[in-house]
Amino acid sequence: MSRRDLWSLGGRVLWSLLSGWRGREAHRGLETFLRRYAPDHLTPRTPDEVRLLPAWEACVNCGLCTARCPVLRALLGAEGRYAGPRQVATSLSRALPEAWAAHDTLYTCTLCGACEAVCPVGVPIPELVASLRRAIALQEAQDAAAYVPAAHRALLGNLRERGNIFGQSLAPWPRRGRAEYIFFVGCAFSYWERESVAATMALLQHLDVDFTTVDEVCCGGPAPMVGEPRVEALAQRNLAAFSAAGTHKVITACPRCALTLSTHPAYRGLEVWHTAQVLAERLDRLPAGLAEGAVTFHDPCELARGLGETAAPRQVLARAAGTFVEMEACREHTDCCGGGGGVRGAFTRLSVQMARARLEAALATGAGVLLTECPTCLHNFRNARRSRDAVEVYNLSEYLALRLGLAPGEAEAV
Amino acid sequence: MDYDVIVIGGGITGAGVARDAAMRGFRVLLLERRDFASGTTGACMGMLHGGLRYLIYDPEVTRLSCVESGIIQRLAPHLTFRIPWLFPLFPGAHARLYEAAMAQYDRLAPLKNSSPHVLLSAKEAREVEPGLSERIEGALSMDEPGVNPFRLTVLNLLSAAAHGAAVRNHAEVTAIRQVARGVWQVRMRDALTGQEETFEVPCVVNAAGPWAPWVAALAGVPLRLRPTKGTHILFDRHVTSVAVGVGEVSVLPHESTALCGLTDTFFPDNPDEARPEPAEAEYLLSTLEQALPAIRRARVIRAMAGVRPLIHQPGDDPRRLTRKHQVVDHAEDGAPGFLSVVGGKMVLYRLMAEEAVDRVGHLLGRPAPCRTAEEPLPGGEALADPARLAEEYGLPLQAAVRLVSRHGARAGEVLGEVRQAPERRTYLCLCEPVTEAEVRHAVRHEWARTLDDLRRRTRLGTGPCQGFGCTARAVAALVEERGPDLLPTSEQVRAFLQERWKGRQPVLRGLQLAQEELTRALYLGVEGLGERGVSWEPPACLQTPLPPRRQAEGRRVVVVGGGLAGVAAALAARSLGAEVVLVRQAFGATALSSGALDWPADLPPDAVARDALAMLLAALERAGLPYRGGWGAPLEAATSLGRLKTAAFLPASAALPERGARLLVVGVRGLGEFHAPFVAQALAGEFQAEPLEVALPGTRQADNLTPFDVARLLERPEVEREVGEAVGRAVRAGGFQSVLWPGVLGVERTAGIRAAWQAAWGVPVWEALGGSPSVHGWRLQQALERALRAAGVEVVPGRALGVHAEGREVRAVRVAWREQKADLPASAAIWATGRFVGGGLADDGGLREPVLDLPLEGLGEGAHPWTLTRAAFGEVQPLFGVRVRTDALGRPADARGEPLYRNLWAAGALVLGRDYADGTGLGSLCVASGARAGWWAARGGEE
Repeated sequence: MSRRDLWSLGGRVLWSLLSGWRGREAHRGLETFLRRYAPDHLTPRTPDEVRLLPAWEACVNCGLCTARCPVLRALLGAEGRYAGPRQVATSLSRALPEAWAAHDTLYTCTLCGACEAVCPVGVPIPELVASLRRAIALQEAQDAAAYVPAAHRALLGNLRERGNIFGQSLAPWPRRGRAEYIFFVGCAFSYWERESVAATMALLQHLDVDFTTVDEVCCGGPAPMVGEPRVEALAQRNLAAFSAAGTHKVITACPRCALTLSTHPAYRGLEVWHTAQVLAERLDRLPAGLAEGAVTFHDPCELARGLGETAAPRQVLARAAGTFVEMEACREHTDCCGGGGGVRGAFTRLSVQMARARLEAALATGAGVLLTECPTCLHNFRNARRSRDAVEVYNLSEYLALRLGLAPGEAEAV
Repeated sequence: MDYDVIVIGGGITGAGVARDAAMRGFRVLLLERRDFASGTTGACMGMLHGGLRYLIYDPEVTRLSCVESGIIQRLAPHLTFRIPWLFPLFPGAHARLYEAAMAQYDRLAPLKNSSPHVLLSAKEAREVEPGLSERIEGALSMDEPGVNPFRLTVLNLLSAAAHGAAVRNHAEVTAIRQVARGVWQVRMRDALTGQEETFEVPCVVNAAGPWAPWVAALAGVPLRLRPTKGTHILFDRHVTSVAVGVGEVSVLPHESTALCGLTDTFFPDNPDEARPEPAEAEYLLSTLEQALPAIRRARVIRAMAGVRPLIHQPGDDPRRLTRKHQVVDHAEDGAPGFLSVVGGKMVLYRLMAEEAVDRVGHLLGRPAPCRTAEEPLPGGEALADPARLAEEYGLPLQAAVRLVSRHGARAGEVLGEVRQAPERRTYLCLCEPVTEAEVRHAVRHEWARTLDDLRRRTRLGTGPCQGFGCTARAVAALVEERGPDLLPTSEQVRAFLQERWKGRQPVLRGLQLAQEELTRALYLGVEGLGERGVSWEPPACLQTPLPPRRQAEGRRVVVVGGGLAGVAAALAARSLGAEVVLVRQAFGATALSSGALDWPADLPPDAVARDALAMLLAALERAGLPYRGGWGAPLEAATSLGRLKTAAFLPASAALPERGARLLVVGVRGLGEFHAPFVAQALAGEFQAEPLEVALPGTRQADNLTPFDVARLLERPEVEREVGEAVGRAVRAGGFQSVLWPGVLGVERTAGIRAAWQAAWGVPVWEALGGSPSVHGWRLQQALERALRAAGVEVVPGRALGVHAEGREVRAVRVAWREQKADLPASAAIWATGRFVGGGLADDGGLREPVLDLPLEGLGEGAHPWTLTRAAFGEVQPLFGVRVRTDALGRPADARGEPLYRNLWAAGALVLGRDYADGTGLGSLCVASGARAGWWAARGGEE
């Protein structure tokens, strides 16, 4: 390089150093940077997503997940598109700036995790779907476009305004002041299945579980599934309510609440039980053979796969049921009821269709009673049930309470 | 004369010259030895950048590059995209000084639509990129335009052809002779057809890049370059959301992968010899590690090397070689009319071409103005709207976005036929994705003659699976569009697999190993495309007899692993009365298998192996999945590629009729992995095969059906009936003696469907093997699961974390499943955790058995996977010879043969150490190995 070039460059650098004082502010800071590259769909990852990246990269394109996916099975020959778990892992999630382009084939996933349970390399696909939905939500704001289903936007708005996913004013539950446990009811029970959870609480009382409810808000669990991983605002309120009740032990009958309260980083220091686990610890207090006729059990996804708990409900049923029949696709390979992942709100027909398919599997066992222990599964099954179906649907704890005469209503079996 | 000018070399430079010359009205012929952009252009970083580092010693090049970058972006806006870039500042860096230097680059930024720099604090930088090291003190940003270099080249050629140029690939120039002053004779040979042609022209432009000296030598003229090799590696996706640079090494998100480079080493040899070296990959990764500590864990899918044809300037500092370009007129070498275009960078191609064609015009006495900066490249005429395209053609939006990024305003033309044939929306490549319509378009209109050509045009096979999912699908479309060639189909597939392998081999590591295993299992083990003659030494334990039976009451055997070996072990132990628990983390590799249970032809099965298979086959029969076959009487089945696979035992639905039979091959519209006309033609040598395509009722969308979709639909009575009638008509009309389907006859109702159709049609009905996922594998896994339940084996989900032992006796196996942990008490344990797919063997900075660190053999000199590979994909890879060392009874043992634990066995792929190269899968070997371990573990003790 010539002397002249060197002088010229040196001079320019010097000038830049000097004139830099004037231009400095224009070239500083995160906001400037993000604004400059918003048109390119710059979408920073979260630290959690960076940590999970190798798990997502493990996909070998074998396709077993698509063979297993209950949503794909339901969509066959029906309206609606789902790219499928394989496409999510090996295609949709590879180029972050193009996340918005996945919005037409991503929102029918219920995040049930049936795919992950058969994946030979263990790709955590539900987390990948949630991460993509987060990116899509960010890019929706950048593009001033509508990518996220209206029902999901509404859900998040409801959480912000009312502290529950329905945006409703939910009637409170009887308080006790201080107790050993908190019974965390959850939005879905409070809105959809009040009688069922009342029966559950009656059973817990009968088993001498010392609990109180609190002034709760949504656990926050649904939010990450629809693109908003931050649940700190809700968690703070719940943790404050737990503190006020003077205990860190929580029981809930909703598997999503149980999973969120026990594993989400926004909640710390809690000991959490799902009601199935509570019942399994108190088998001796339950009379044997309470159930009438043949009984079958639907494992909620978040209980069987999320928490990994398939033994507790079966221990209870071994005690309570005379005849227990397993459904196909049970335990850790349970088929989704269609209620998760915001699908019930955004694609209600599909959701009920999946519940119907699961009901058919229950009917195929010949059992007269289908039990589960989850408000969403319960509600979806009840929606999908037709009056002439030869099976009744209850939550496990609800059913036992009814059989013990602890709650109004008959426990019917067919 | 035939043409005014022949351009030799179909990289970006040659393509640019051809376009410019054609636009100026010259008659142009372009000859490319292999495929367009398969040389340096195809191995570059895909950037239209100014060149920050040249600012110091080549500022004019930087300025020109920025100008040209802006021009190219205008000509093809759909091809280019902006990549934000961060340069982390490490302790001791003078941020102010770097900023001042960057300010110089800022002045040129508007020329290429870049933004000025931004200075970020360390905290801010980590918000953008959480993976950045804790050490950094801040970061400087800038951005560069990226481009798909293959498409840029092809668009120039399409434009050239539109202006009358003739363009030929796989056309090797074999001789260049000056037959008279200013008259050149060029002879070429088509590599795929063998055809030779000769042309006479007044002007030849040598645009062969680093091969230019060799082409010049053909013409008898001297040409000297200062070539340097550049190696890049690719990650399977965007591993960062912005580009991150450390010195000269950067990782940048690029289309749907991430590129990482660069290296710059003197390379005077023939560019054909340029190979990426593992040491170069190590250099790139360890440099980047300073800024991104976790980068080593990311999945590397490919390495590529190209040679830069830099010009020779005597006295140049080897670390600062100029990127100036040059048009050499060889008139001064006694070769008037012969020009060479050398040096430069990809972004300067248009300018280099302009100067070269200026010279051509002058030589021909017909100067004309250059308009290449004015006319948009094909597809660049307007901005296409992917959303509108997606809606109009019923395509998922992501596929439309990717299609528009390659074809711009002309994307609609590519999809045109989808209106009449909606199944052409089916993805042939799932990773990118690439539709069948685009693949066919590339063959018809973009000179794609081989699978590798298709890869360059459409990105087919460039995703994480590197061809595993798409090779078989794409070859069917290619052959149908292109017609017969010198190369038979199997050679086409082999060549593509080899080409893909070449890129993986030097960097094979970590997460890529599981993919490798699947790819070999399918294309070598099932499709038989490998090399025969495998030298494999069976582990000693495979031949050890068992002592006389002894009941195993009171013993509790824990089997880890749910594949064939694990299941066989569990059934075997149970058959002796032991209590058995089988722990598995997913379904086990069985569900991934083809369904065939192979046994090596040259290994006589001993009594134990025979008993093992008999036990398993009986269990399958009881579980409703009958198998056929026998020792010494192997059966044949057809595959998705129309090849014939031999196996010792096959599902009853998968065998084949006798040779010569009239065979109807049925395909399903929208099922991309089985193309009936292709399979029928492939089988035409052995059978009188003819194709039939059926459309399944009951599907709203007629594309992207998986075999499971089809299988479930066929299980609906009305669909079974309707299809049965349609196919039955064809069977009768054609007098067929047998019918071959892909593996889709119901998920569980196979026997019923076959029986119904066989009764209705009066001829046997068979299923082919192949594809992924395979319904055969699924059925096998489900049947084995029923067998386990029927036998009273407890199956629990979980991952083994370790064992509790007292001395050398295992007492319990520690397992975890989601939030639950448990210790499973055991009298004996069997480790049947598989190989790479199941996680039985892993590469974590070296090959290991990741849970118990069991001793391995076959590692050779080093433990790194890439050191255990061979150049030819189809030959035995020592990597697949790595296995856990066992004693004669099958227990993991040290080098002296002492077992680690007296009651710990290992079985299956983990101990076999056998590759798929000779077309034999591991099925029966895993069963024999597992059952052996199960019988030994159940009876306990040493005998």
